[in-house]
Amino acid sequence: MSTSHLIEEELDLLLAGEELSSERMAHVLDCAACRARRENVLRAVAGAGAVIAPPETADRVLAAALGRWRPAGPAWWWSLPAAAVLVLAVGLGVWSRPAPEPALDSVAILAEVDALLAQDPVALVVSEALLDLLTEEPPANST
Amino acid sequence: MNGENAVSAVAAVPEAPAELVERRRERSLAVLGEEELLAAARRGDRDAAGALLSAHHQALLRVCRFLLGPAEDAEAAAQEVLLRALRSLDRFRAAGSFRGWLAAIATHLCRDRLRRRRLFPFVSLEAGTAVRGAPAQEHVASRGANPEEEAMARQAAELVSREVAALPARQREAFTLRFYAELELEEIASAMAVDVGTVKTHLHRAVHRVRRAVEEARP
Repeated sequence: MSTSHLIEEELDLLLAGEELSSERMAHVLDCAACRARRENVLRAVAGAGAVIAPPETADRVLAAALGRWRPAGPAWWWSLPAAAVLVLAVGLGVWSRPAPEPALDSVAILAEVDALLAQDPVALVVSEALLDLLTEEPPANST
Repeated sequence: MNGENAVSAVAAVPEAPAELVERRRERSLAVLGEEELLAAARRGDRDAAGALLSAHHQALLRVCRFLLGPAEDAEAAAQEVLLRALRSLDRFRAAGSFRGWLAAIATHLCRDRLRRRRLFPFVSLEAGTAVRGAPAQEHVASRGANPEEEAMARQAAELVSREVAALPARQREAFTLRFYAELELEEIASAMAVDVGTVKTHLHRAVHRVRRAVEEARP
């Protein structure tokens, strides 16, 4: 193990987060003086950070940011394809529906019946006689 | 358990008092990982977003303070960084660290503010933080074991603040992102939009200057 203390450049590298050779890193682990030198600088740096951004101030900043945040809802452009599909479906439904049965034209039918009766009035009489026969009530005293 | 279930399950307890539900919800958020919190925050969960950012907000405020100095409102800048991050959560890609992404937003926002104001940043504890009601004594003193140690720690902190403020802009960025956002060299390079070698150069110069100032003041 190397016994010489860290030179300035090595200490700067170590502070900056870079690796030294394994031999020099072993020295740092074993040398209280070199570790103290490093920790002295890191403590001063950390102290400045604590002063400049106290936790309660940071909490206030975060609360303010969250208060201003409006989470976005579903993106509006997602509704466009949905609307297009809906319009298409309705359109297809209209065009593929079977044609409606033609409505009965009662006036025309009556006119046709009248014409038939005019040609053959007996047909009406016979049918009425037959109807009377079928629906005739039996006599009350048949004995 | 995914983030959605973890966050919503506790709210579904039918007859629990509101406070109990809230406590359970907070506990649930506390055990969620960053990825799950991120997923919940992306769905608009405000509590999850708060829990996600609470691990980084102090570092972001430090970055903004050191990069901007007293000439700019660092609190407003940090708030803007957090808000931009919240509005852009969908753009964050897991390839990098979340803190690195936040630090990159902070770095560019601070650069932009300084560029627009054309102010050379200068940080002074008296002018910069005391104005904000940040009692330097309280935060540094709590670390010391006795009054003499506390006084020395306070002086050292003031010295570092002055030295960092006096660094050239890019050195200050590298130093701040390394020590106050605690980023790795690759993350710093990404945040500063330079290569790692450039970061090392800036960082070594900055560390050398600050280290010498500290050791000269307190050998």
